[in-house]
Amino acid sequence: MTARGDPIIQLTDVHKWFGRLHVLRGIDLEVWPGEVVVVCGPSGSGKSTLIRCINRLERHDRGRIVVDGIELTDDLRHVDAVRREVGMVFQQFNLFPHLTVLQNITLAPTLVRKWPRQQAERVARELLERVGIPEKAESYPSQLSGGQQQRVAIARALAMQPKIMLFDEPTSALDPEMIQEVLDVMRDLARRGMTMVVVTHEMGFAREVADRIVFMDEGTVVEAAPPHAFFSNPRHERTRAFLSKILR
Amino acid sequence: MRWDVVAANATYLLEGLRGTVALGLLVMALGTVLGFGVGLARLGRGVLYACATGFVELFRDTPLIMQIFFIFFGLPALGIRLNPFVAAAAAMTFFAAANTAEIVRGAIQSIPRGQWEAARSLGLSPAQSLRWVILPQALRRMLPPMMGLFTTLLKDTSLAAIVNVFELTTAGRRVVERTLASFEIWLVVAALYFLVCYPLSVATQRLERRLVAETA
Repeated sequence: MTARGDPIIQLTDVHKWFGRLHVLRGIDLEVWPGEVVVVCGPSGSGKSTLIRCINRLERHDRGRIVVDGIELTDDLRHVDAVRREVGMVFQQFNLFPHLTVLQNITLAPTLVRKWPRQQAERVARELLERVGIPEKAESYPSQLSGGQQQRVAIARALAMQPKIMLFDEPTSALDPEMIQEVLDVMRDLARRGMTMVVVTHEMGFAREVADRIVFMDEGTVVEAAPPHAFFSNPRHERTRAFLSKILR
Repeated sequence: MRWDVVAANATYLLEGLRGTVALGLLVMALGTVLGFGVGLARLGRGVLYACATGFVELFRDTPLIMQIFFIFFGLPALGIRLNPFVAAAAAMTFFAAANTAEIVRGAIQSIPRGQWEAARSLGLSPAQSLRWVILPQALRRMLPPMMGLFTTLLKDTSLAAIVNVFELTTAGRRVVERTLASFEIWLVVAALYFLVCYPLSVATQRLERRLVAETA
């Protein structure tokens, strides 16, 4: 997909400290509508912190983050406005264990979007169909496999009809045989034109689905390029070193 | 052994038991409501947090019997005169609330941070996240320690006897003073406390086992 219009996510010189640890050191990044950006890099490179800043689960200390025309500041109304438009999928799924799958998905649309229950449930069942587990609507999260839980988590985020989806290592907590079923759902989502920022080590997925791959190291963006250029002709030594380790 | 004394005073002792249960239920209800508020305040910051923390420490780090003495015998010096029942109930309510607050705070803080993050990232407000995601899970964790606290409170209503509130221990003492049948009366009084508290204690243990099994 080619870049068009204004960026839907724009980070300008973003810095973040955890105490004395400088985890983001001046990040500049633009994501255009419909683009799939994969963020990779060694652990501790700041990639999770970066996408957690995009919906302000972490507060950046310096620089500007503008999402869908709204700047993230201490103004909670702005934060809530951004969160309504940005879905997030976590490494640990974070499903609500006391609610059924259906209730997990309908909770936010009924509370935040004020949809009537019937409408919310209809949308939830459609989404469960889409992620391939319509028969699990009345189950509780603990009765599902990891892969199924993560697919429910994706459906839950999609129920809010977000413009952007953030994925924070969505397959890292999964058994190997369950990784593909989650990646399939994400592939389908990308094909439908969803704007996605994905932190992952799944280089096969990145090569196939990403429009751009961003390589981070020590809190900076070292290199950002389309998959072909990124894998076949990485410009930086650090990227080459990382790729040689991860693609072995 | 003079069991006829017990039979002759059975009605009176049962009235005392009724006083115990009434005081216990009142203190549990008020203490739970107040304790929830204080416990939630302990999760925040600023003045509210400081006041809540002060309250909790004050009533958890002093003996209940002293709190009753202070409220009943001490406060009149400031012009606050309470009848014995109100004084004992007030002291016990504060004591219950301080302990409830810690149970509430502990249970809420034991819910993984990811639950907050998931709720907030879906656009739920902090209040909605608490109400629909955190509290339903935290309540289950509060139940066993709350029931333990209730059992303790029910027994501790006996401290109200020191300011002459009419409850089971007071009733027992008055019968003993009249009849001198210490052994028989205190044995029966102890049995009555046991009859009320034991089922509570068993229920708590069952509940704990069930919750552990469910979360496993």
